Amino acid sequence: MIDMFKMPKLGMDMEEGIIVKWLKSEGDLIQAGEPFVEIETDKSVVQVESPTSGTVLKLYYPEGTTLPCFQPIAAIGQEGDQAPDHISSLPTVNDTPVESEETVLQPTAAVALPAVESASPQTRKLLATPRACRLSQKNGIDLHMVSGTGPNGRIVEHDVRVFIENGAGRAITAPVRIPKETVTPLSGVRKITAARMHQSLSEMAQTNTRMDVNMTNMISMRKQINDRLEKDDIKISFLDLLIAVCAKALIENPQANASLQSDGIHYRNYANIGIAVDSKNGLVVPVVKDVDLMSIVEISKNSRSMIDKARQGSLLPDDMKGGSFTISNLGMFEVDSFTAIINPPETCILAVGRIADRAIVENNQIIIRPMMNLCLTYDHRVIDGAPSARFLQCIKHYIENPIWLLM
Amino acid sequence: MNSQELNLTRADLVEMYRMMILIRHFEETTVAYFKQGYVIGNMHMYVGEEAVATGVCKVLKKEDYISSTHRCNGHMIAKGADINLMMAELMGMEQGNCGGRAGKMHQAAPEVGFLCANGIVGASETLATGHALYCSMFAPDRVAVAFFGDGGGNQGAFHEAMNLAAVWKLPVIFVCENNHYAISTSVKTSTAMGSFYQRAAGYGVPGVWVNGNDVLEVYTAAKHAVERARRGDGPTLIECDTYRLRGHHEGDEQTYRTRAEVENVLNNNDCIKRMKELLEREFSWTEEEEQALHKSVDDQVAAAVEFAMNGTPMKVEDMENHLFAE
Amino acid sequence: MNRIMYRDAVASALAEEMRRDESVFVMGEDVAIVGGVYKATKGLLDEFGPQRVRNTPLSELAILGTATGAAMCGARPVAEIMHVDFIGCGFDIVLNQMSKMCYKTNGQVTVPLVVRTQCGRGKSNGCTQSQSLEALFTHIPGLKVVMPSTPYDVKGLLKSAIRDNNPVVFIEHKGLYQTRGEVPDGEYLIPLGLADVKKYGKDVTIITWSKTVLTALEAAKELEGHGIDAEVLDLRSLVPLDFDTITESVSKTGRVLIVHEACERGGYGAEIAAEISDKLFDELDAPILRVCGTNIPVPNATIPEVESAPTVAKVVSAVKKICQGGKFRD
Repeated sequence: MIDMFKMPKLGMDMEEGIIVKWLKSEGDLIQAGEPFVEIETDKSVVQVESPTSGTVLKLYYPEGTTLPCFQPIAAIGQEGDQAPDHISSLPTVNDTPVESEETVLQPTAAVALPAVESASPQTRKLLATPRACRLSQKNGIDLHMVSGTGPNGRIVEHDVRVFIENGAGRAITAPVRIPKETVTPLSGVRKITAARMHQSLSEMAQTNTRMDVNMTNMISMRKQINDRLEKDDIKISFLDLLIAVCAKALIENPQANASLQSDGIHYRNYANIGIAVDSKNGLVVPVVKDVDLMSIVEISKNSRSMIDKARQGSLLPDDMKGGSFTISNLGMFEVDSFTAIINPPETCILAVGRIADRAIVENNQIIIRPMMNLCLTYDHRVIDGAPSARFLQCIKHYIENPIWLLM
Repeated sequence: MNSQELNLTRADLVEMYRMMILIRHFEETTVAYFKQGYVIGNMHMYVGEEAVATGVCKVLKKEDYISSTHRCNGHMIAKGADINLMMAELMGMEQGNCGGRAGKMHQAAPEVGFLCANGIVGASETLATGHALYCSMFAPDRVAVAFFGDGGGNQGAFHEAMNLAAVWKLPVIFVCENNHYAISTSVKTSTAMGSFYQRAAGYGVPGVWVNGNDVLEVYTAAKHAVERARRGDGPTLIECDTYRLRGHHEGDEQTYRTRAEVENVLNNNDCIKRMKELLEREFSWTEEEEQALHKSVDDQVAAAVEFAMNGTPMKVEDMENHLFAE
Repeated sequence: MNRIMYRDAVASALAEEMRRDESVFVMGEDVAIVGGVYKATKGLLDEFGPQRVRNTPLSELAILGTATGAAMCGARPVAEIMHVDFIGCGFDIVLNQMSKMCYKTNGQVTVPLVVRTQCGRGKSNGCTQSQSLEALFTHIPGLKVVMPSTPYDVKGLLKSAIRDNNPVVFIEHKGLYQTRGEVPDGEYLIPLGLADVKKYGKDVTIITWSKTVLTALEAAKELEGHGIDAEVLDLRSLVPLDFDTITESVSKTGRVLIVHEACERGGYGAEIAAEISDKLFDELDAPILRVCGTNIPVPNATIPEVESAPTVAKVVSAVKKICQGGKFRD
C-alpha cells in the first residue's frame, strides 16, 4: 500500500505551507514518527514526522515550494511499489465549474397566479388574496371583472364567490385571457448578441448612407453563369455575387476595410466577409475568409457551407472571427430597406433590401427596372461621409456594371 | 509512596504503566493523523497528564461513572473505552463510538460509564454530581467522578456542584487536573490562592493536593475518596498538580510559556518516566519487558488506526437521526 | 369529573407518576415544605419524603446540571426552575447539555428529564419575573416545549412529558395556577404534539397557547356579536408542532391570527406564520397577523403591564382587520 504524505495542517488557521527541507531522499527508509520534512508556516518552521513506516518512493515538490494544506507532497510505501509520477493539485475555491453556454434554461412553467399585483399596463394594480386567485382560476374568471371589498380594494374569496353566484362569471363570452409573462434567462447566443449590439451602439459613432441600385445587368449575368453551371449542379446566389462585389470594393477602399482598435486603426489588405444568418438559436455571423482571392464558384461553395453550418448550429468559434465587413440581407422578407448595426470591431455593414420592379427615370423616360436598396452603416470615427459614399458608390458601380469585376 | 502499602501487585503497576503509555501513544498517533487531515477537529491532547486518568480510573469499577472535558481521550481510555471506536470517531466515521457525529470533544462510551465528553469547560462538574445523585438514589454501590481542569475550576458550576454534592452527601469525586494553563492563562493570574484544594474547606469536605504526575499518589488519593463516597460520606476534592506537555490544542504557538519550562517537567517529573524508574528500581523491570510492552501498545494503536481508516464517513442521509429518542 | 385548579392538576400528575415509577423524583427551589411558591408540588413531600421531593439551594445551574446528569443514568427527574426568567443562571445545561446529549451520542445516552417552569405576567413582578421565553427553547434542536392552558391539559401533558425519553421544557403560566377546569378522576394522557381546538369556528383561526388561550376565547365570544365565527386553536405543545391541525383549520377559514404573550420580535408566532405561508399560501384569504407582547421588558405598573400583552380588545380588533371585506363589510 502506498501512503500519500500530505502538506500538514499545523494550526487552525494554517492554509498553506512551504517545503523548507526534505529530511529524507527518494529511496530512503523512514520510520513512523521519524522527522520527514521541515515545513514553514507563516509563523515558524517545524519538523513534521511521517505517520507511517516504509520507503520514500517519491518527493513530488522541490524545496521552496508553497502548497495548500493536505496537498499530497510525497509517497511512502514498500520498495518496488509504483507511486504515481505526478500529483494533481487540490481543487481551489476558484475552480468551480463554469456553466456551459450550451445549457439552455427552460422558462419556468407559467405560474397560474395571475392577478396579484400583475402589471398589465392598461389596468389598475389588482390586489387579490391567494385564496381568491385560486377560486377565480378554477372558474375561469378574469379578476379584473371582480370588484374587491377587502382592504385597499383587495379581492377576497367571498368577492369571487359573489361574482360567480350573480352569474356575472358566465356573462363573459370572450375567451378569458389571463395576462402573463414568461421569463427566459438571458443566455447563450441571445446573451452574446445583446452584449455585442449594445457595445456596438454605445462605443461607435454610427451613421449611414443609402443608394438604390439597378439590378438589370446583375440578374442577366447571374442567369448566364447559372445556365453554364447547371450541369455541375452549382447555383450562384445574388448574395454570392454581392460578396464578390464587396470584396473588390473593400480592397479598393481600405478605409472601409478597417478596424479601430486600442493601438490605432488597422487597415486590411484582405477581405473577410461576414454573412448575417438567422439560425435557430438567433443571429450568427459566419465569416468567409480571403474572399478577394476566390472565384465566384469558390465564394458560392464557401458561403453555402458556412450558412449550412450556421443553420445546423455547428459553427466553430473560429468560423465567426476575423471578419472585416458584414453583409445583412433581409430581402427575402420583402424588406425594401433597413439600417443594420455594425458588428464590432468592423467599421462597415451593408444592409441589403429586396429586388423589386420599380419605376425609374432613365433617358427622360419612366421605365420599370429591378431595383435594390443598399444601406451602408459606417463608423464615423474611422471613415468620413465622403469616403463612405465613395465606397458605396463603388459597390453600386460593380453591381450595375458587373463586367468591371473582371478588370 | 511505597507500593506494597497500597496492596498493589507488580501486575497492577505494570497495568498502570502500560495504560499511561497507551494513552500517550494514542494521543501522539492522533496528532500525526490530524496533521495529515485524517483526524478532524480541534485536538486537545492529554500528553503529560496520563497519571491522573490512570490513577483515578484504576480505583473505579466499570459501572462507576465519569464525566469528562474537551481533553477527554485519556479519561476514556483509562475507563476502558474501545480505542478502535475512538479513533474512528476522531476520523468522522460512522463506525465511531458516536457514529462520527460527536468528534473528539463530544464522544461517549456509555458501556464503560463514560456518558459524554464535553466542549463546555466546567459542565462535567454538575453532570457528574447528577450521576452521583442517581447513584445515591438508585445504585448505592456506584460512584461518579468529575474530571475538570484549572479552567473548569473557575467556573461558577464548580461552586454550585460542590455545594450541592456536599449538602446532599453525594458519592462524587471532584478531580481537578491543574495543568497550570487554561489555554494561555496561567493559574497564577486566574486563581486566587493559586490552587484549588483549599476550597474544599468551604464546603466541609476533604480537599487533597497530590503530585498529579505520580500515578501512585493519584491512586492513593482516589482510593480514599472513592471509599469515602461508597460509604455514603459524600464528596472529596482532589487537586492533581500536573502539566500539559503539548499546546492547548495542536497548532498552539505556546508563547505564554518557555520551552525550558516544558522540558523541565518532561525531564524531571514526567509520569511515564517516574513509573519506569520505579519498576526498574523496585520490581526488576527488564529491557525485554519494556520492548514487549511498547510493541503491544504499538500494535494496539496501529489496529485502531487500521479500523478507523477502513471506516465509512458519516453519511448526510443519517445526519438528522437521533435528534430525539423514541 | 372534578373542577380543580391548574396547580392541583400539576401536583396530581406528579403524584400519579411518582407512584407509578420510582425513578421519577422532583427537585427544585422550595418544592418541599411549602410545596412550591405556586403550590404546584403541594402534598408531595408528605407522601414521598425528602429523598424524592428534593429541596435545592438557589443554584439553577446545579439544579439543571444534576437533573440532567441523573437523567443520563436513567432517572426521570422533574426539575423545577421557579421562574423561567431564572433559566439564564443555568442556561448552559439547556443549550449545550440536555438538548444535545441524545444526538451527539448517536442515541446512546438519553435525557428523560422534565424542566418545569413558570412564565408570564400579571402579578406586577416586573421585568425579570414576568417574561415568556418559549422562543429561546424552540430555537434549540433537541428540546420539546410544552405550554398547557387548562387544568385538564396540564395534567395529561405533564404525565406524557414525564414518560417521554427526551428533555421537555414544560412551561406553566403563573396566571393560570388558580384557574379551574374539569379533570377526570381516572388516569389519562395527552400526547405531546397534539393541538386542541378549544372553540370551533369557520371564519378565522386564532392560533395561540398558554394563558392567551383564555384571552382568545373571550375575544371569540365578543366577535360573535360582530358576526364573526372564530376558531381558537390551542397548540399546547410548540415542539413537536401539530401542523396537521393548523392545516385543517386554516384550509377551512383562510384567515389566521397568532396570539402570544412573548415579545413579538423573533417570537414563535413568526415561525408559525412562516410555515403557514410556506405550506398553506393558497389557502390564505388575508395576510397573517400577530397580536403579541410589545418589544419591551415587562413594565411593573398595572396598566402598562396589561397593555404590553395581548388583550381581548386587541385580539378583537386584529380579527376584524383580518376579516375586512366580503361578507364582513362594515
